[in-house]
Amino acid sequence: MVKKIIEVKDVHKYFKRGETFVHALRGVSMTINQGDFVFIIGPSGSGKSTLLHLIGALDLPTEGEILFDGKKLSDFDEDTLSIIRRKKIGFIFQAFNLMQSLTALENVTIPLVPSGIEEEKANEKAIKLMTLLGLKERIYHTPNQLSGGQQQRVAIARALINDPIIVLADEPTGEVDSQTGNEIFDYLRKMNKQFNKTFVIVTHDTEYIKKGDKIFKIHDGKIVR
Amino acid sequence: MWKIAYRNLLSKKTRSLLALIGLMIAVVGVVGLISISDGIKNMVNESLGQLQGVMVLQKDAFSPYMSKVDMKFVKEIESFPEVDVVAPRVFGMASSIDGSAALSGGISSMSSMGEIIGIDPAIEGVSGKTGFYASKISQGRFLKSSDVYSAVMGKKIADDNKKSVGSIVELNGVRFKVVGIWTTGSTATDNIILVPIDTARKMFSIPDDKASMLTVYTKDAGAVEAVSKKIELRIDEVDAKSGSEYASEVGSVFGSLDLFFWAISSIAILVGGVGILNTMLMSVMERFRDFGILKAIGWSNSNIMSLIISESIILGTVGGVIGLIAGYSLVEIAKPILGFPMQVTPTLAVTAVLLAASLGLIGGLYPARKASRLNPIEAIRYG
Repeated sequence: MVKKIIEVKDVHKYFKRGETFVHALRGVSMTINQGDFVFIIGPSGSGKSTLLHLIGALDLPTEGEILFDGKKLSDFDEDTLSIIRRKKIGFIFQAFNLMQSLTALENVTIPLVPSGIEEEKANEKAIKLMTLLGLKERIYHTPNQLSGGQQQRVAIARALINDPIIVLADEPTGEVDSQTGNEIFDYLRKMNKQFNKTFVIVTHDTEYIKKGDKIFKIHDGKIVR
Repeated sequence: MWKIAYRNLLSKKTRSLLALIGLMIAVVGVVGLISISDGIKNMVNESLGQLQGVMVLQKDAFSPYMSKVDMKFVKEIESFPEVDVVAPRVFGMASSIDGSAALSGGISSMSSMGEIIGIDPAIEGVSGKTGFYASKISQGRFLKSSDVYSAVMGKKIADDNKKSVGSIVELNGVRFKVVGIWTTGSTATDNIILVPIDTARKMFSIPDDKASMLTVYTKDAGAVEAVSKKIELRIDEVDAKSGSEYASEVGSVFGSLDLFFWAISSIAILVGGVGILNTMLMSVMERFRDFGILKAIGWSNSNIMSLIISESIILGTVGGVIGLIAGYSLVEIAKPILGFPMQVTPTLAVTAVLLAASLGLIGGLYPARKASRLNPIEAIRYG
């Protein structure tokens, strides 16, 4: 039987921007199963990043429910949510968002710091992952010594280091050329297959979506397909 | 956590360095000022430690220099059964040595400003409890009853004026032959010159029936407090104090001196604290995006607070240690030039470093709170 990882049930999200309220999500429902490689596509401003943040426990819906691994996210306090993000979710951002003062290896192991895992064990785990992602020769480089594609692979390794059940990527190819973009998707797909990890990827770039198992198209805060 | 904090600080070298300099100046200020206070305190305590017996001064006289006690009280006090012997002394300043005014050189001459004490060799030259000065002779001999223009100089004042046994020294226009040198190791007492009491009376225009001070030695050292009370009770014209009473009185004066020095230091500390607050605040605002990311990947609010506080404690402690080294070096350089008693005690060293570390902690709290409360989505989006 397929395991449901995420259930989004009639979710609405309002933002206050200045004096006006923005109705960013208008009744979104979706289900994501273990091992899915899912795309959420749509034009900019359609609400796809907002949806990803809600799935990633970075924010809570105004109305509706999100079940994460069968549990309501709205039942948890801030600290518990941060533990869920640490242990069960991996994040990949558009602008790589690595810490410039740290080496590639240190960037990969940084999510392990709050768990107090021994540095040696953490490094061993990170080097294994980085090797799989073709970064073996780059572990002691700082971000500014790496290409865009390499930086994004460091970010992928960082997202996987805690062995999460789901990896969320927000426009992961937004800042690289299309050849590098293809490479990045191939790596994501490889991690998805090899570790049976669930991936949810937000993109506005339709070039890559044929690589996905499921596609949700979002428009004006509603799922249209 | 500490490693990441350390790396973050290294990545902004100039900014960290500026914060360190601010803190360093604060710590140097504290070390410099408090070392002066500690040095003076130590010097005075050393001298007070050597005080024995009961000191009898004219009533309400501020110091022996302004006091004239009638010699008739010698007999009266010696009649107390607890009292062994009473030694009259005459106190005066060596305002000129070999014709040059001892005060003209400003603060640097404080070290060579001598104190002249006239003593009775018949009483103080003998060994035993009255022989304190005599027992410290390191070269030559002590004064004898037959001496008139003979002097025994403290080691420091003798060295400062290049005198040794056999030299001639002119004190306030009067020529003396140096017959001995005495050494106690204390800066204050090694600046004393001893001359016969009758000669001192003539130098400082004190009549033969007066002395500046009477030092009363008791048969039993434990009786000094009782004897000092008894003297005050029986003789209205004098104040009597034991060494320990004197020390506690001086101690309270130093308590307020300390408070004064700390008050000045606190301005330096405040400046250092504002510096570290400013540095950390800037550094946190620059890294809003980083903290947003850390929150997104599972760092809790308290993890982020710990990181920033670690950074500012490292800054504070390093600034404290550098400031302590700089302050200590400055004190060591300044000491011989100023001729001033300065001392960096272990307590002062530890206090200075702890103070700087706590400045780091306090200066980091507000920026840390600010960073930990960021909304991760907005921090990532807008940096």
